[in-house]
Amino acid sequence: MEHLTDFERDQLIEVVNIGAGNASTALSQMVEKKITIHVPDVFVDRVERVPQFFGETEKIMTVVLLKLLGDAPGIMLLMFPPESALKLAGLLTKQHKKNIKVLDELDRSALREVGNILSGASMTALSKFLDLNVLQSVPDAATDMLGSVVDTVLAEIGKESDIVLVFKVNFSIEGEDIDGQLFFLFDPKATAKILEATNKVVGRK
Amino acid sequence: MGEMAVGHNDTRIKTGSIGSCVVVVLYDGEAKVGGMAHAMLPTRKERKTDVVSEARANININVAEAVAKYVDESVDRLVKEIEKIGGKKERLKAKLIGGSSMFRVLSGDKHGIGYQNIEAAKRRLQELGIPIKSEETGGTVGRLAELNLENGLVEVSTKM
Repeated sequence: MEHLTDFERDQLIEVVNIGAGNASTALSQMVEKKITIHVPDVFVDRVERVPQFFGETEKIMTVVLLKLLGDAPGIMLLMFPPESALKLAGLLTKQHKKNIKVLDELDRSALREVGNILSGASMTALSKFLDLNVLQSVPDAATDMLGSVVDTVLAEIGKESDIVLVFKVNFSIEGEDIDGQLFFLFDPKATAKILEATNKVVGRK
Repeated sequence: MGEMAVGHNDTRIKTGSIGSCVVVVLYDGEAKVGGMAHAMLPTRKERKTDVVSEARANININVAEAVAKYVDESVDRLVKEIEKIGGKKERLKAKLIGGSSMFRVLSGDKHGIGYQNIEAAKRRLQELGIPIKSEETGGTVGRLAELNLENGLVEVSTKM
């Protein structure tokens, strides 16, 4: 497998970093806690070969999904272990629950909203920085085996492309033991657009 | 995902984490051979590989495509592989697992990819004259499946 050139890789990571940085600021303001984000990781391969990149396949995860539309179509995923999802929902709805099995409609709605805000913040940053027009769908949430969720998402990408680029950003909320991951999935066409736009911006300076 | 396996007698074939993909199980009860394919998309689409974008983004993947990526092709391939190890197409019975739709946002107007995968599998099996014995499909849950080749039983489990 051949990767992107190191330069392009760094460029893309920086772009995702800007988006994720903006998203974490938004989340930090929502929950009034400090958020730590890690340097993004990028991965390119045939769609059917990337599931292991997402983590342990039989683990249960709570996933919020948004479709990205416009100049750089793709999919954004926000993933939490269910305990973290419940804690975060508790922080947002100001209700604390002990039973991790039960995410009620209010919790799910709060988590979908988190997805909405994080995606919105990331995409706004990208739109401004790269001058791309990116829209997002309404968020949708599911709690199930990570592998099954990934299987579904990759099939969706696979409809249009044989190859997928995945960006992963780990983050955690300080003092609350809440860990989450943000994933951005793009096909080569969208990636080329992002690189092109980045080059334009870099060239301008 | 995109993989297939065949075997006989005391073997077990297991596949993890089925979402909108479909798992096709074929079993010949007389020869006690069978196999399983975990396919991702209904059928190969004639699409112009986006050479320009791929070149521009400098993406060049040198690994071969997975053997069971498309439902219709993997049914054919599975039948062939089973016949190689002593099964007979005429004796094969099918079981289908998966094809769920986990996100409404992705289902769109045409029932989503899960539904299309199940339909593609049924169509191909009918064309080949292979009866479907049982199915555990649709809904919104992820599944795990394990085939016992001694008796052709398939164990399907969920974690929700």
